[in-house]
Amino acid sequence: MNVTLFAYSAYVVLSVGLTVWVARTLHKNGRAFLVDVFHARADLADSVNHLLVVGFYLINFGYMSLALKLAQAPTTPTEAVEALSHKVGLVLVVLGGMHFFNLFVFSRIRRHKTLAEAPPPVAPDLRLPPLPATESAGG
Amino acid sequence: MTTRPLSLTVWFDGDCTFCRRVAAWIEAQPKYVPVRCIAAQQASARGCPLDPQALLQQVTVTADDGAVWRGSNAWILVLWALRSYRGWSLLFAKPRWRPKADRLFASIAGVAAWTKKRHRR
Repeated sequence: MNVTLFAYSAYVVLSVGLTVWVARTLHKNGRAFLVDVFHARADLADSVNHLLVVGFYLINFGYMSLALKLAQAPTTPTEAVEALSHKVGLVLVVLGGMHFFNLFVFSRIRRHKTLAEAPPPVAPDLRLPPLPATESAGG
Repeated sequence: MTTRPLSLTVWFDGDCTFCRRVAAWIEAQPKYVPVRCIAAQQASARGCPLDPQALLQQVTVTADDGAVWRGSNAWILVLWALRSYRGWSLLFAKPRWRPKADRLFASIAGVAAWTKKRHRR
């Protein structure tokens, strides 16, 4: 009983610590990126940044709680460490996946902005004096 | 390169069914800049100073500031104007992809010419 309880508490402490660390890293380093994407509108960037981190916490803590239960209660400290390692490893993999998903979302948002601002990629073949405005009455 | 929004006109062969279909497709796409498609046969009537015969030979795009793009350049510019295809446009304009893009656009022009001939018969 004591060993199981130890494994559970260590799992919770480790997973919460890791989640908070990754979320803070994302929050801190994603900000500059979002400020650029939202045309230097810091208020909007901070808002989106915060919303992303909240979603991140919800998914990770949700997964943590669901994955907490050990199928077999460990009887020796060695078993407890093994079970702990397995569970924390899963949490780390999920965190890594979420982290890359976040990066993907950031880069998607940024790509849209760079595309929208891209100048024509080819130079004109010819330059005429500005054309008179023709009526757009379809034929 | 100007950063102010351009307004583009695509001159296509109005006697070619395939070209008309492509023009309708372009008009239906979401765009970054306004694009109109006008049959080259109406060019003089619409005040286009370019030679109508030259317009029929190659797809031509004119901007309201007087810039003219022809052939592959015109295609790349049209793709650039479309929201869903600007990425392709920037890719096609790169030196590494440009020859492939030229071949692609040449074969599309080939299809257009072929369908036109078939309809004539």
